[in-house]
Amino acid sequence: MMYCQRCKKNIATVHFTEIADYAVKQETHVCEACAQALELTGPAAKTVQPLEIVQTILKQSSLPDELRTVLTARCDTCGMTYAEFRAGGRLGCPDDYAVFADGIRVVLDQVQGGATKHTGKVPRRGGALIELRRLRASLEGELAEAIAVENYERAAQLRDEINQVDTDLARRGADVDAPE
Amino acid sequence: MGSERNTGEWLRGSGPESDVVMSSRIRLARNVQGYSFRAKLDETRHGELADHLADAIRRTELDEGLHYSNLDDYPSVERDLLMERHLISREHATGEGRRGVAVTSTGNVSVMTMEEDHLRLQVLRSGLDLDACWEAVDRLDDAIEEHVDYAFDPDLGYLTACPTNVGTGIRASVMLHLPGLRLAKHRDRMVTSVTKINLAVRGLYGEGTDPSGDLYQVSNQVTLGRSEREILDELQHFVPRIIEYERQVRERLFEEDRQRLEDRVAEACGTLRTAATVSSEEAMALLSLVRLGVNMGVINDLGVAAVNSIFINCQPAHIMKQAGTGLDAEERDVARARYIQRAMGRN
Ligand SMILES: [Zn+2]
Ligand SMILES: [Zn+2]
Repeated sequence: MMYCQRCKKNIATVHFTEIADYAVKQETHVCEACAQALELTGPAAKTVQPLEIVQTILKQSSLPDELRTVLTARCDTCGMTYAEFRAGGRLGCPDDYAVFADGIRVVLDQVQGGATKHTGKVPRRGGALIELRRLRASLEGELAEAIAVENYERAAQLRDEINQVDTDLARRGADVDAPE
Repeated sequence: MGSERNTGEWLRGSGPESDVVMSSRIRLARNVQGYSFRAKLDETRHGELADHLADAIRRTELDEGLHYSNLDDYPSVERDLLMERHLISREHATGEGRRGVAVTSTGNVSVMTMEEDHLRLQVLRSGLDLDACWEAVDRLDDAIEEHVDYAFDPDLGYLTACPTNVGTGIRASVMLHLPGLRLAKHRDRMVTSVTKINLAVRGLYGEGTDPSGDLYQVSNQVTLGRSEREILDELQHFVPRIIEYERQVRERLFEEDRQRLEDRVAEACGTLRTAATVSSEEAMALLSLVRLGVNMGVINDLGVAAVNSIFINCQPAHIMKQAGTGLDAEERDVARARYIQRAMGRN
Protein backbone atom coordinates (compact mmCIF):
# COMPACT_ATOMS: atom_id res chain seq x y z
CA MET A 1 0.00 0.00 0.00
CA MET A 2 1.11 3.48 -0.81
CA TYR A 3 -0.31 6.84 0.14
CA CYS A 4 -1.36 9.47 -2.36
CA GLN A 5 1.53 11.77 -3.22
CA ARG A 6 -0.78 14.75 -3.47
CA CYS A 7 -3.17 14.66 -0.49
CA LYS A 8 -1.04 12.18 1.54
CA LYS A 9 -4.31 10.98 3.06
CA ASN A 10 -5.90 8.40 0.78
CA ILE A 11 -4.42 5.21 -0.58
CA ALA A 12 -2.89 5.74 -4.00
CA THR A 13 -4.95 3.85 -6.55
CA VAL A 14 -3.83 5.51 -9.76
CA HIS A 15 -0.30 4.81 -10.89
CA PHE A 16 1.03 6.75 -13.78
CA THR A 17 4.33 6.10 -15.49
CA GLU A 18 5.76 8.32 -18.13
CA ILE A 19 8.38 6.87 -20.38
CA ALA A 20 10.95 8.62 -22.49
CA ASP A 21 14.25 7.70 -24.04
CA TYR A 22 14.94 4.28 -22.56
CA ALA A 23 13.82 5.14 -19.06
CA VAL A 24 11.02 5.95 -16.70
CA LYS A 25 10.83 9.70 -16.65
CA GLN A 26 8.35 10.08 -13.87
CA GLU A 27 6.13 7.93 -11.71
CA THR A 28 3.06 9.33 -10.03
CA HIS A 29 0.97 7.60 -7.39
CA VAL A 30 -2.24 9.34 -6.34
CA CYS A 31 -5.77 8.59 -5.17
CA GLU A 32 -8.74 8.62 -7.56
CA ALA A 33 -9.92 12.05 -6.39
CA CYS A 34 -6.50 13.62 -6.83
CA ALA A 35 -6.08 11.87 -10.18
CA GLN A 36 -9.23 13.60 -11.36
CA ALA A 37 -8.11 16.90 -9.91
CA LEU A 38 -4.80 16.51 -11.72
CA GLU A 39 -6.68 15.38 -14.83
CA LEU A 40 -4.69 12.22 -14.52
CA THR A 41 -7.40 10.30 -16.26
CA GLY A 42 -5.80 10.20 -19.64
CA PRO A 43 -2.32 9.63 -20.90
CA ALA A 44 -1.56 13.26 -21.55
CA ALA A 45 -2.62 14.14 -18.07
CA LYS A 46 0.35 15.10 -15.98
CA THR A 47 1.69 17.56 -18.48
CA VAL A 48 -0.93 20.30 -18.16
CA GLN A 49 -0.66 22.18 -14.94
CA PRO A 50 -2.09 25.51 -16.06
CA LEU A 51 -1.98 27.14 -12.64
CA GLU A 52 1.63 26.28 -12.06
CA ILE A 53 2.55 27.53 -15.50
CA VAL A 54 0.88 30.86 -14.86
CA GLN A 55 2.49 31.12 -11.46
CA THR A 56 5.87 30.46 -12.97
CA ILE A 57 5.27 32.94 -15.74
CA LEU A 58 4.05 35.60 -13.35
CA LYS A 59 7.09 35.15 -11.15
CA GLN A 60 9.44 35.97 -13.95
CA SER A 61 10.29 39.65 -13.59
CA SER A 62 11.10 40.15 -17.24
CA LEU A 63 7.79 38.90 -18.57
CA PRO A 64 7.74 38.89 -22.38
CA ASP A 65 5.34 41.54 -23.69
CA GLU A 66 3.30 39.09 -25.74
CA LEU A 67 2.64 37.00 -22.65
CA ARG A 68 1.72 40.04 -20.58
CA THR A 69 -0.95 40.93 -23.14
CA VAL A 70 -2.25 37.40 -23.40
CA LEU A 71 -2.71 37.16 -19.64
CA THR A 72 -5.34 39.90 -19.86
CA ALA A 73 -6.88 38.69 -23.14
CA ARG A 74 -10.56 37.83 -23.41
CA CYS A 75 -12.46 36.06 -26.21
CA ASP A 76 -15.37 38.08 -27.62
CA THR A 77 -17.11 34.99 -28.92
CA CYS A 78 -17.41 33.03 -25.68
CA GLY A 79 -16.19 35.36 -22.93
CA MET A 80 -13.34 33.09 -21.84
CA THR A 81 -10.37 34.88 -20.34
CA TYR A 82 -6.85 33.58 -20.58
CA ALA A 83 -6.55 33.47 -16.80
CA GLU A 84 -9.70 31.35 -16.66
CA PHE A 85 -8.26 28.94 -19.23
CA ARG A 86 -5.05 28.69 -17.24
CA ALA A 87 -6.98 27.88 -14.11
CA GLY A 88 -9.24 25.29 -15.69
CA GLY A 89 -7.10 23.89 -18.50
CA ARG A 90 -9.98 23.89 -20.98
CA LEU A 91 -10.84 26.43 -23.65
CA GLY A 92 -14.19 28.13 -24.17
CA CYS A 93 -14.57 27.97 -27.94
CA PRO A 94 -12.63 27.21 -31.14
CA ASP A 95 -11.80 30.94 -31.54
CA ASP A 96 -9.75 30.86 -28.33
CA TYR A 97 -6.90 29.18 -30.19
CA ALA A 98 -6.48 32.39 -32.21
CA VAL A 99 -7.36 34.84 -29.41
CA PHE A 100 -4.82 33.31 -27.02
CA ALA A 101 -2.39 32.27 -29.76
CA ASP A 102 0.76 33.37 -27.90
CA GLY A 103 -0.28 31.65 -24.71
CA ILE A 104 -1.43 28.54 -26.57
CA ARG A 105 2.02 28.29 -28.09
CA VAL A 106 3.51 28.08 -24.59
CA VAL A 107 1.04 25.34 -23.70
CA LEU A 108 1.66 23.39 -26.93
CA ASP A 109 5.36 23.58 -26.22
CA GLN A 110 4.78 21.53 -23.12
CA VAL A 111 1.95 19.19 -24.03
CA GLN A 112 2.68 18.65 -27.71
CA GLY A 113 6.44 18.63 -27.67
CA GLY A 114 6.52 22.04 -29.32
CA ALA A 115 4.57 20.98 -32.42
CA THR A 116 2.49 23.77 -33.95
CA LYS A 117 1.44 22.38 -37.34
CA HIS A 118 -1.19 19.76 -37.97
CA THR A 119 -0.04 17.14 -40.47
CA GLY A 120 -2.82 14.59 -40.10
CA LYS A 121 -6.28 14.03 -41.46
CA VAL A 122 -8.36 16.82 -43.01
CA PRO A 123 -12.18 16.58 -42.88
CA ARG A 124 -13.25 14.81 -46.05
CA ARG A 125 -16.22 17.06 -46.81
CA GLY A 126 -15.23 20.17 -44.84
CA GLY A 127 -11.67 20.06 -46.12
CA ALA A 128 -12.90 20.45 -49.69
CA LEU A 129 -15.08 23.37 -48.57
CA ILE A 130 -12.13 25.08 -46.91
CA GLU A 131 -10.22 24.81 -50.20
CA LEU A 132 -13.15 26.12 -52.25
CA ARG A 133 -13.70 29.09 -49.91
CA ARG A 134 -10.01 29.88 -50.01
CA LEU A 135 -10.10 29.76 -53.81
CA ARG A 136 -13.18 31.99 -53.88
CA ALA A 137 -11.51 34.57 -51.62
CA SER A 138 -8.44 34.71 -53.85
CA LEU A 139 -10.60 35.05 -57.00
CA GLU A 140 -12.50 37.90 -55.31
CA GLY A 141 -9.18 39.61 -54.68
CA GLU A 142 -8.14 39.21 -58.31
CA LEU A 143 -11.52 40.49 -59.44
CA ALA A 144 -11.16 43.66 -57.36
CA GLU A 145 -7.72 44.21 -58.90
CA ALA A 146 -8.99 43.65 -62.44
CA ILE A 147 -11.78 46.16 -61.90
CA ALA A 148 -9.34 48.66 -60.37
CA VAL A 149 -7.20 48.58 -63.53
CA GLU A 150 -10.34 48.54 -65.73
CA ASN A 151 -9.51 45.15 -67.23
CA TYR A 152 -13.17 44.24 -67.81
CA GLU A 153 -12.45 41.25 -70.01
CA ARG A 154 -10.44 39.64 -67.17
CA ALA A 155 -13.10 40.70 -64.67
CA ALA A 156 -15.82 38.94 -66.64
CA GLN A 157 -13.67 35.83 -66.80
CA LEU A 158 -13.09 35.96 -63.02
CA ARG A 159 -16.84 36.41 -62.39
CA ASP A 160 -17.47 33.23 -64.36
CA GLU A 161 -14.90 31.39 -62.29
CA ILE A 162 -16.44 32.68 -59.06
CA ASN A 163 -19.87 31.55 -60.22
CA GLN A 164 -18.42 28.15 -60.94
CA VAL A 165 -17.00 27.94 -57.40
CA ASP A 166 -20.34 29.09 -55.95
CA THR A 167 -22.16 26.37 -57.88
CA ASP A 168 -19.66 23.88 -56.48
CA LEU A 169 -20.15 25.20 -52.97
CA ALA A 170 -23.93 25.11 -53.29
CA ARG A 171 -23.79 21.57 -54.63
CA ARG A 172 -21.87 20.59 -51.51
CA GLY A 173 -24.63 22.13 -49.44
CA ALA A 174 -22.48 24.99 -48.15
CA ASP A 175 -23.54 28.50 -47.33
CA VAL A 176 -21.75 30.49 -50.04
CA ASP A 177 -21.25 33.57 -47.92
CA ALA A 178 -19.99 31.74 -44.86
CA PRO A 179 -16.63 32.93 -43.60
CA GLU A 180 -13.60 30.78 -44.24
CA MET B 1 -30.06 -2.05 -23.85
CA GLY B 2 -27.54 -3.63 -21.55
CA SER B 3 -29.62 -6.69 -20.86
CA GLU B 4 -27.79 -8.75 -23.44
CA ARG B 5 -25.14 -11.06 -22.10
CA ASN B 6 -22.87 -10.43 -25.05
CA THR B 7 -20.25 -8.05 -23.72
CA GLY B 8 -18.89 -7.02 -27.09
CA GLU B 9 -17.03 -8.51 -29.95
CA TRP B 10 -13.79 -6.96 -28.78
CA LEU B 11 -13.68 -9.34 -25.79
CA ARG B 12 -13.70 -12.51 -27.82
CA GLY B 13 -9.97 -12.89 -27.21
CA SER B 14 -9.16 -13.94 -30.74
CA GLY B 15 -7.31 -10.86 -31.96
CA PRO B 16 -3.57 -10.73 -32.66
CA GLU B 17 -1.30 -11.22 -29.62
CA SER B 18 -4.31 -11.87 -27.42
CA ASP B 19 -2.26 -13.83 -24.89
CA VAL B 20 -0.92 -10.46 -23.72
CA VAL B 21 -3.09 -7.83 -25.39
CA MET B 22 -6.69 -7.57 -24.20
CA SER B 23 -7.83 -4.91 -26.62
CA SER B 24 -6.92 -1.97 -28.84
CA ARG B 25 -8.85 1.26 -28.91
CA ILE B 26 -8.81 4.50 -30.89
CA ARG B 27 -10.82 7.53 -29.97
CA LEU B 28 -11.17 10.76 -31.93
CA ALA B 29 -12.17 14.11 -30.41
CA ARG B 30 -14.29 16.36 -32.64
CA ASN B 31 -16.17 19.63 -32.11
CA VAL B 32 -18.80 21.45 -34.10
CA GLN B 33 -18.08 24.72 -35.84
CA GLY B 34 -20.11 27.67 -34.60
CA TYR B 35 -20.62 26.36 -31.07
CA SER B 36 -18.61 27.06 -27.94
CA PHE B 37 -16.98 24.18 -26.08
CA ARG B 38 -18.88 22.72 -23.12
CA ALA B 39 -17.55 25.16 -20.50
CA LYS B 40 -18.96 28.19 -22.33
CA LEU B 41 -22.10 26.74 -23.84
CA ASP B 42 -25.28 28.08 -22.27
CA GLU B 43 -28.16 25.69 -21.61
CA THR B 44 -30.17 26.65 -24.70
CA ARG B 45 -27.26 26.28 -27.09
CA HIS B 46 -26.17 23.11 -25.30
CA GLY B 47 -29.61 21.54 -25.85
CA GLU B 48 -29.69 22.75 -29.43
CA LEU B 49 -26.31 21.17 -30.19
CA ALA B 50 -27.18 17.93 -28.39
CA ASP B 51 -30.29 17.67 -30.60
CA HIS B 52 -28.33 18.51 -33.74
CA LEU B 53 -25.78 15.80 -32.98
CA ALA B 54 -28.45 13.24 -32.11
CA ASP B 55 -30.08 13.99 -35.45
CA ALA B 56 -26.75 13.81 -37.31
CA ILE B 57 -25.96 10.43 -35.74
CA ARG B 58 -29.41 9.08 -36.59
CA ARG B 59 -28.83 10.06 -40.21
CA THR B 60 -25.32 8.62 -40.27
CA GLU B 61 -25.13 5.56 -42.45
CA LEU B 62 -22.99 2.80 -41.05
CA ASP B 63 -23.08 -0.86 -42.04
CA GLU B 64 -23.07 -1.98 -38.43
CA GLY B 65 -25.94 0.38 -37.55
CA LEU B 66 -25.58 3.10 -34.90
CA HIS B 67 -28.21 3.30 -32.16
CA TYR B 68 -28.46 6.63 -30.39
CA SER B 69 -29.84 7.20 -26.87
CA ASN B 70 -30.06 10.16 -24.53
CA LEU B 71 -27.73 9.23 -21.69
CA ASP B 72 -29.42 11.61 -19.25
CA ASP B 73 -32.59 9.47 -19.53
CA TYR B 74 -30.67 6.38 -18.43
CA PRO B 75 -30.69 5.04 -14.85
CA SER B 76 -27.21 5.31 -13.37
CA VAL B 77 -26.67 1.54 -13.33
CA GLU B 78 -27.13 1.48 -17.11
CA ARG B 79 -24.62 4.29 -17.51
CA ASP B 80 -22.12 2.45 -15.30
CA LEU B 81 -22.68 -0.65 -17.37
CA LEU B 82 -21.65 1.20 -20.52
CA MET B 83 -18.60 2.52 -18.69
CA GLU B 84 -17.58 -0.96 -17.53
CA ARG B 85 -17.86 -2.10 -21.13
CA HIS B 86 -15.49 0.71 -22.11
CA LEU B 87 -18.14 2.26 -24.35
CA ILE B 88 -18.31 5.56 -22.45
CA SER B 89 -15.89 7.36 -20.13
CA ARG B 90 -16.29 7.64 -16.38
CA GLU B 91 -16.89 11.37 -16.80
CA HIS B 92 -19.66 10.70 -19.29
CA ALA B 93 -21.29 8.13 -17.01
CA THR B 94 -21.23 10.30 -13.90
CA GLY B 95 -21.62 13.70 -15.58
CA GLU B 96 -24.63 15.96 -15.79
CA GLY B 97 -26.70 17.66 -18.46
CA ARG B 98 -27.94 16.69 -21.87
CA ARG B 99 -25.62 14.16 -23.44
CA GLY B 100 -25.89 11.06 -25.52
CA VAL B 101 -24.29 7.86 -26.63
CA ALA B 102 -24.57 5.85 -29.79
CA VAL B 103 -23.35 2.28 -30.07
CA THR B 104 -23.34 -0.43 -32.70
CA SER B 105 -24.94 -3.78 -32.00
CA THR B 106 -21.48 -5.37 -32.11
CA GLY B 107 -20.57 -3.39 -29.00
CA ASN B 108 -17.22 -2.17 -30.29
CA VAL B 109 -18.07 1.20 -31.79
CA SER B 110 -19.41 4.10 -29.76
CA VAL B 111 -20.00 7.81 -30.11
CA MET B 112 -20.33 10.09 -27.08
CA THR B 113 -21.99 13.45 -27.54
CA MET B 114 -21.47 16.45 -25.27
CA GLU B 115 -18.59 14.88 -23.40
CA GLU B 116 -15.52 17.09 -22.83
CA ASP B 117 -15.66 17.59 -26.60
CA HIS B 118 -18.89 17.75 -28.57
CA LEU B 119 -18.12 14.39 -30.12
CA ARG B 120 -15.92 11.51 -29.11
CA LEU B 121 -15.79 8.63 -31.58
CA GLN B 122 -14.37 5.33 -30.48
CA VAL B 123 -13.60 1.91 -31.87
CA LEU B 124 -12.48 -1.12 -29.85
CA ARG B 125 -10.97 -4.33 -31.18
CA SER B 126 -9.86 -7.58 -29.65
CA GLY B 127 -6.10 -8.04 -29.30
CA LEU B 128 -3.48 -5.81 -30.91
CA ASP B 129 -5.26 -4.44 -33.94
CA LEU B 130 -4.78 -0.68 -34.18
CA ASP B 131 -4.96 -0.75 -37.96
CA ALA B 132 -8.46 -2.17 -37.89
CA CYS B 133 -9.44 0.38 -35.23
CA TRP B 134 -8.11 3.22 -37.34
CA GLU B 135 -9.78 2.02 -40.51
CA ALA B 136 -13.14 1.77 -38.72
CA VAL B 137 -12.94 5.03 -36.78
CA ASP B 138 -11.74 6.92 -39.87
CA ARG B 139 -14.78 5.64 -41.76
CA LEU B 140 -17.10 6.50 -38.87
CA ASP B 141 -15.58 9.99 -38.74
CA ASP B 142 -16.24 10.54 -42.47
CA ALA B 143 -19.78 9.23 -42.18
CA ILE B 144 -20.64 11.58 -39.31
CA GLU B 145 -18.90 14.51 -40.97
CA GLU B 146 -21.39 14.23 -43.83
CA HIS B 147 -23.91 15.77 -41.42
CA VAL B 148 -21.75 17.92 -39.12
CA ASP B 149 -19.39 20.85 -39.77
CA TYR B 150 -16.29 20.22 -37.70
CA ALA B 151 -14.28 22.94 -36.01
CA PHE B 152 -11.08 22.58 -38.00
CA ASP B 153 -8.14 24.88 -38.55
CA PRO B 154 -5.72 24.23 -41.42
CA ASP B 155 -2.73 24.86 -39.11
CA LEU B 156 -3.91 23.41 -35.81
CA GLY B 157 -6.14 20.66 -37.16
CA TYR B 158 -9.22 19.57 -35.22
CA LEU B 159 -9.85 22.12 -32.48
CA THR B 160 -10.56 20.57 -29.09
CA ALA B 161 -11.60 21.84 -25.66
CA CYS B 162 -8.22 20.87 -24.22
CA PRO B 163 -4.97 21.59 -26.09
CA THR B 164 -3.75 18.09 -25.15
CA ASN B 165 -6.02 16.74 -27.90
CA VAL B 166 -5.67 19.39 -30.60
CA GLY B 167 -4.49 18.41 -34.08
CA THR B 168 -5.48 14.85 -34.86
CA GLY B 169 -7.68 14.56 -31.76
CA ILE B 170 -6.51 10.96 -31.62
CA ARG B 171 -5.93 8.83 -28.56
CA ALA B 172 -4.85 5.34 -29.45
CA SER B 173 -4.41 2.87 -26.65
CA VAL B 174 -3.64 -0.76 -26.10
CA MET B 175 -4.75 -2.63 -23.01
CA LEU B 176 -2.14 -5.13 -21.86
CA HIS B 177 -2.40 -8.01 -19.43
CA LEU B 178 0.97 -8.27 -17.67
CA PRO B 179 0.75 -10.78 -14.83
CA GLY B 180 4.19 -12.23 -15.56
CA LEU B 181 5.90 -8.93 -14.90
CA ARG B 182 4.24 -8.72 -11.50
CA LEU B 183 4.95 -12.33 -10.53
CA ALA B 184 8.58 -11.96 -11.54
CA LYS B 185 8.75 -8.52 -9.93
CA HIS B 186 10.21 -7.20 -13.15
CA ARG B 187 7.57 -4.62 -13.73
CA ASP B 188 9.87 -1.67 -13.18
CA ARG B 189 12.17 -2.90 -15.90
CA MET B 190 9.34 -3.21 -18.34
CA VAL B 191 10.01 0.15 -19.81
CA THR B 192 13.78 0.23 -19.85
CA SER B 193 14.18 -1.50 -23.18
CA VAL B 194 12.12 1.04 -24.98
CA THR B 195 13.67 3.30 -27.57
CA LYS B 196 12.90 6.94 -28.14
CA ILE B 197 9.26 7.15 -27.31
CA ASN B 198 6.53 9.48 -26.23
CA LEU B 199 3.91 7.24 -24.77
CA ALA B 200 2.27 6.83 -21.40
CA VAL B 201 1.74 3.58 -19.51
CA ARG B 202 -0.93 3.47 -16.90
CA GLY B 203 -2.38 0.79 -14.63
CA LEU B 204 -6.13 0.29 -14.88
CA TYR B 205 -8.79 0.54 -12.15
CA GLY B 206 -6.91 -0.63 -9.12
CA GLU B 207 -6.71 -0.21 -5.40
CA GLY B 208 -3.34 -0.80 -3.85
CA THR B 209 -0.11 -0.59 -5.73
CA ASP B 210 -0.79 -3.34 -8.25
CA PRO B 211 -3.10 -2.39 -11.07
CA SER B 212 -6.07 -4.64 -10.59
CA GLY B 213 -6.14 -7.60 -12.90
CA ASP B 214 -2.57 -6.67 -13.92
CA LEU B 215 -4.10 -4.57 -16.68
CA TYR B 216 -2.10 -1.72 -18.15
CA GLN B 217 -2.93 0.81 -20.80
CA VAL B 218 -0.35 2.24 -23.22
CA SER B 219 -1.33 5.28 -25.24
CA ASN B 220 0.02 8.18 -27.25
CA GLN B 221 0.49 11.55 -25.59
CA VAL B 222 1.19 13.86 -28.51
CA THR B 223 -1.68 14.60 -30.92
CA LEU B 224 -0.23 17.47 -32.96
CA GLY B 225 2.56 17.63 -35.53
CA ARG B 226 2.34 13.94 -36.36
CA SER B 227 -0.06 12.17 -38.64
CA GLU B 228 -2.42 9.52 -37.30
CA ARG B 229 -0.30 6.97 -39.13
CA GLU B 230 2.91 8.11 -37.42
CA ILE B 231 1.25 8.08 -34.01
CA LEU B 232 -0.01 4.53 -34.55
CA ASP B 233 3.38 3.41 -35.88
CA GLU B 234 5.04 4.56 -32.69
CA LEU B 235 2.65 2.47 -30.60
CA GLN B 236 2.97 -0.48 -32.93
CA HIS B 237 6.70 -0.27 -32.59
CA PHE B 238 6.64 -0.07 -28.80
CA VAL B 239 3.90 -2.49 -27.77
CA PRO B 240 5.49 -5.64 -29.29
CA ARG B 241 8.54 -5.02 -27.10
CA ILE B 242 6.41 -5.16 -23.97
CA ILE B 243 4.63 -8.24 -25.32
CA GLU B 244 7.94 -9.94 -26.00
CA TYR B 245 9.22 -9.07 -22.55
CA GLU B 246 6.09 -10.35 -20.83
CA ARG B 247 6.29 -13.62 -22.79
CA GLN B 248 9.93 -14.12 -21.89
CA VAL B 249 9.16 -13.58 -18.23
CA ARG B 250 6.24 -16.02 -18.39
CA GLU B 251 8.43 -18.63 -20.03
CA ARG B 252 11.15 -18.19 -17.44
CA LEU B 253 8.59 -18.54 -14.66
CA PHE B 254 7.35 -21.69 -16.29
CA GLU B 255 10.82 -23.19 -16.64
CA GLU B 256 12.23 -22.19 -13.29
CA ASP B 257 9.24 -22.59 -11.03
CA ARG B 258 6.57 -24.45 -12.92
CA GLN B 259 5.13 -26.17 -9.86
CA ARG B 260 4.64 -22.92 -7.98
CA LEU B 261 3.04 -21.25 -10.99
CA GLU B 262 0.64 -24.17 -11.48
CA ASP B 263 -0.19 -24.14 -7.78
CA ARG B 264 -1.02 -20.45 -7.80
CA VAL B 265 -3.20 -20.78 -10.89
CA ALA B 266 -5.00 -23.81 -9.47
CA GLU B 267 -5.50 -22.01 -6.19
CA ALA B 268 -7.02 -19.01 -7.98
CA CYS B 269 -9.38 -21.28 -9.92
CA GLY B 270 -10.33 -23.13 -6.76
CA THR B 271 -11.08 -19.95 -4.87
CA LEU B 272 -13.23 -18.56 -7.68
CA ARG B 273 -15.14 -21.84 -8.03
CA THR B 274 -15.86 -22.26 -4.33
CA ALA B 275 -15.81 -18.89 -2.53
CA ALA B 276 -19.15 -17.76 -1.13
CA THR B 277 -18.23 -14.12 -1.51
CA VAL B 278 -15.77 -12.34 -3.82
CA SER B 279 -15.06 -8.61 -4.00
CA SER B 280 -14.47 -6.92 -7.30
CA GLU B 281 -10.78 -6.45 -6.49
CA GLU B 282 -10.28 -10.07 -5.43
CA ALA B 283 -12.02 -11.23 -8.56
CA MET B 284 -9.76 -9.14 -10.78
CA ALA B 285 -6.59 -10.41 -9.09
CA LEU B 286 -7.68 -14.05 -9.26
CA LEU B 287 -8.98 -13.79 -12.81
CA SER B 288 -5.63 -12.38 -13.83
CA LEU B 289 -3.99 -15.63 -12.70
CA VAL B 290 -6.69 -17.67 -14.40
CA ARG B 291 -6.13 -15.78 -17.66
CA LEU B 292 -2.40 -16.41 -17.34
CA GLY B 293 -3.12 -20.10 -16.71
CA VAL B 294 -5.31 -20.34 -19.80
CA ASN B 295 -2.69 -18.66 -21.98
CA MET B 296 0.13 -20.86 -20.62
CA GLY B 297 -1.87 -24.04 -21.20
CA VAL B 298 -2.07 -24.76 -17.47
CA ILE B 299 -5.87 -24.56 -17.60
CA ASN B 300 -7.61 -26.38 -20.39
CA ASP B 301 -11.29 -26.25 -19.51
CA LEU B 302 -11.70 -22.48 -20.02
CA GLY B 303 -11.13 -20.18 -23.00
CA VAL B 304 -9.64 -16.70 -23.15
CA ALA B 305 -12.94 -15.29 -24.40
CA ALA B 306 -14.75 -16.68 -21.35
CA VAL B 307 -12.19 -15.21 -18.95
CA ASN B 308 -12.27 -11.83 -20.72
CA SER B 309 -16.02 -11.74 -20.47
CA ILE B 310 -15.93 -12.63 -16.75
CA PHE B 311 -13.49 -9.73 -16.24
CA ILE B 312 -16.19 -7.35 -17.50
CA ASN B 313 -19.26 -9.13 -16.16
CA CYS B 314 -18.01 -9.26 -12.57
CA GLN B 315 -17.76 -5.50 -12.21
CA PRO B 316 -20.29 -3.78 -9.92
CA ALA B 317 -22.82 -2.45 -12.43
CA HIS B 318 -22.88 -5.73 -14.36
CA ILE B 319 -23.53 -7.68 -11.16
CA MET B 320 -26.30 -5.26 -10.19
CA LYS B 321 -27.80 -5.55 -13.65
CA GLN B 322 -27.98 -9.31 -13.25
CA ALA B 323 -28.84 -9.63 -9.58
CA GLY B 324 -30.70 -6.43 -8.76
CA THR B 325 -29.85 -2.79 -8.21
CA GLY B 326 -30.94 -2.88 -4.56
CA LEU B 327 -27.94 -4.94 -3.48
CA ASP B 328 -25.45 -3.49 -1.02
CA ALA B 329 -21.73 -4.15 -1.38
CA GLU B 330 -21.75 -7.39 0.64
CA GLU B 331 -24.71 -8.80 -1.23
CA ARG B 332 -23.02 -7.87 -4.47
CA ASP B 333 -19.94 -9.87 -3.46
CA VAL B 334 -22.16 -12.91 -2.89
CA ALA B 335 -23.90 -12.40 -6.24
CA ARG B 336 -20.51 -11.99 -7.91
CA ALA B 337 -19.24 -15.27 -6.40
CA ARG B 338 -22.33 -17.05 -7.72
CA TYR B 339 -22.00 -15.52 -11.14
CA ILE B 340 -18.32 -16.50 -11.43
CA GLN B 341 -19.05 -20.07 -10.34
CA ARG B 342 -21.70 -20.36 -13.01
CA ALA B 343 -19.50 -18.80 -15.68
CA MET B 344 -16.44 -20.88 -14.85
CA GLY B 345 -18.32 -24.10 -14.37
CA ARG B 346 -20.12 -23.84 -17.64
CA ASN B 347 -17.05 -24.31 -19.77
ZN1 LIG C 1 -5.12 12.20 -2.94
ZN1 LIG D 1 -13.87 31.84 -27.11
